[in-house]
Amino acid sequence: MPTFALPWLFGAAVAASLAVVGLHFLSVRRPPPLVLPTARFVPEGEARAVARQPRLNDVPLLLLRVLALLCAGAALAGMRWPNTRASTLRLVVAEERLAADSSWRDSVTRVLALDDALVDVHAAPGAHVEAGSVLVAATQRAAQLVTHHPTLSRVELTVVLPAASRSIAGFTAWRAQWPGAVRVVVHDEIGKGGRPATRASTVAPGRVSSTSVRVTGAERDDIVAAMFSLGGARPSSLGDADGAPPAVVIDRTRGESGAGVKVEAAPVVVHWPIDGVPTGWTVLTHPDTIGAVVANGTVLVGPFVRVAVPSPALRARLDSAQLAARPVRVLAWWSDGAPAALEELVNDRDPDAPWRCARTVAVMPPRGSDLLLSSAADGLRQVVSAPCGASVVSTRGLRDEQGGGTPASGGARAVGYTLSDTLSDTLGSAAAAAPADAFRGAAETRAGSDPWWLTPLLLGLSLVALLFEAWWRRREAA
Amino acid sequence: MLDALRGVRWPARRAVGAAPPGAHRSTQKGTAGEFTEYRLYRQGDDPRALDWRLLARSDRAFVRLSDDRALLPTWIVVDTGATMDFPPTASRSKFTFAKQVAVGLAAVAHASSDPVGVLVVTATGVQRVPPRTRRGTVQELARVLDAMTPGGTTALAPALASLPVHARIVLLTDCLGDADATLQVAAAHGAAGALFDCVHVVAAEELVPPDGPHLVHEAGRAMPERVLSSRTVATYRANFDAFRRDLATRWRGTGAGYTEVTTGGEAARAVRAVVSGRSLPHEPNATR
Repeated sequence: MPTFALPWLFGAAVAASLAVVGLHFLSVRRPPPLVLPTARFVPEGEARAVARQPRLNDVPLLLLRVLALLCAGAALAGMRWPNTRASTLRLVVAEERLAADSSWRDSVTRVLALDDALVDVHAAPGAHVEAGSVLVAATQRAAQLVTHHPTLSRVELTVVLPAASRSIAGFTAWRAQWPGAVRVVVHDEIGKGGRPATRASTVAPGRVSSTSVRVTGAERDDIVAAMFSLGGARPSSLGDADGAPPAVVIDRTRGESGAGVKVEAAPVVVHWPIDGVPTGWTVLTHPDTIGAVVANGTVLVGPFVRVAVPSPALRARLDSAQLAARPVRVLAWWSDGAPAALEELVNDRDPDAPWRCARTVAVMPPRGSDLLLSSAADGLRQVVSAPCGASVVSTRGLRDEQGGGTPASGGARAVGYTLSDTLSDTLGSAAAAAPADAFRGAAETRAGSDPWWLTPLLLGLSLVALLFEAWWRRREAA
Repeated sequence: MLDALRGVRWPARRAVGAAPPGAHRSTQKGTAGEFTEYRLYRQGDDPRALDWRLLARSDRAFVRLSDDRALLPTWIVVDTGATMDFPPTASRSKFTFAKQVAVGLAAVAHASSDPVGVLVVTATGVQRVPPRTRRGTVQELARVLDAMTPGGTTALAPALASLPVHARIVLLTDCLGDADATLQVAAAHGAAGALFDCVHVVAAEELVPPDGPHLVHEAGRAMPERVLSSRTVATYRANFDAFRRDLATRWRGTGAGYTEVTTGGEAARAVRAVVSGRSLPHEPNATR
């Protein structure tokens, strides 16, 4: 049974067709003339009386006109022809790079394509960054498919998460929005494109471990060097003969000097220039004052002067929803929400090499101030000196708190599942599905037909019918 | 068609008047030919016609009589009025069919050694070929008829009135012209001794009109608007049937023959119906 993106438009076409049918009944065209030598035996009568008889006139013309109207209406209304009669949708949402693997997709489809169910493997960009993005993508995809296939009555969802993600707060929030059970599978193979959990220190969100910090390029009595000396950092230059390579190197060299620390010098290289303009940032023409900087849940209030903002290129990568080659995230914010410190992952394509981070900090402490030595600056110090990847969290703990029960609908908590690292082990188990009606109406109305070629086909058919109607009409008149 | 008509005879419906010897029974009685009756001997009779055996038996003198056979000149009259050109687009219009029947009748009459001629009344005048018995007469008549095209209004009665009364006159027409005047002429000629035969040519499309409502009219004739539709076709057919029945009754009432033929049938079959005087199944009066 076909459906329409704009049903009212097709209804208008049907109404117009009915009007055309009515006009053909009411046609008062005169009958065609006929030479008949025995016409004298035909009783006299008025031609219009014949025309008012309630019967269809010019049936071929009528059919052509109705066909043209209905085809044009169906094309403009965005006809969708469902290619399945399945009642169950088995939706698998995985991280983008895994979902792009055609062999993996085929294997999943093979396992799930039972009982004439509709199987869809969908990609969720950003699962590395926020685990909840898979649920967002799942909700959107389920709404699209359910709207397009009216025969679907239940949706079984399986999400395949990377072993670690920067944040899982979104997953917890979005979990309540899914009106059914969710199978969560953690896939270690995703480490090929991302980071296996064993390569990062999986600590609870908001906590970082202490690491060795070296401050270079600092002037005498540098406040930043003093800040990290309180935290155990050694404000010494590179090449210090103590034998222990630092985990974090903070470079206080001015940005335009060109004599900064190389990125490869340490796992974490922080460019925190004295002038407040790190590499890759743009100098503000008119610096402004800003009252506070927020980092790691703490607020440092002070008369800061903001002299730089992220360059447009840096901003674009920061705002991009896709995982870039060198993903960028914000470590600290000014009180007005603008980034104050950024972290950029370096060398993330080589799965065997350790992570490296390049951080830039545009916080210029007030001259002569000891704000950075206060406890309020602990948050800033922690995020700047944290090991690379320390903020990622394991996704293995993502499951419902409650167990047992029946699948719920409309946002209630639902049954959880035993986690499994093997996708096929999990997929074979029975699932409590979400009702498909919960997603109907949620999908945005997308113009156009499905499949895409229905619109040009119907428009072409309508045009052919109109041309044939014109030819038929001329032929009859002749 | 001519092969199909080989051997067909067309005897006169009644005895014909005095004429050169031919194939038709004559009103004249003679002593030659097939014996038909005895007559008392009258003074002046040929003594060789006496039946001597009967004289010996009965002591009375009787003369043996037999019918004479006579020729019957045949005139074939073809109507070329505009109403005969129907249907105009069909391969066999009424006029075409009438020509075929005319040639067939001419061939049958010629085969009986009867002189046969044709008279065609056109809008420009009368085309006449006197009756002849020589070889090639039928082909000549066919050529004359082929050269004719129907059209215009033609009055048959004046042309018919010019024909001799001691002849067989066959009229091929659709009876939609001056039918009444033609009938009067036919009655007068019949009373004078002519043998009239009317072949009423009807188009199959006139018996069964095309479907759907049509605004019908006759070519070259002003008439009020008439619509032939599903509601009026029954009345039309009833009126047309009544007209044909009335024609048959009136023609036969004058002593003439009347045969209705349709363009949907075979011309040879129509010729056989005319010469035998049988009615074809579609004729409203199936008896003669």
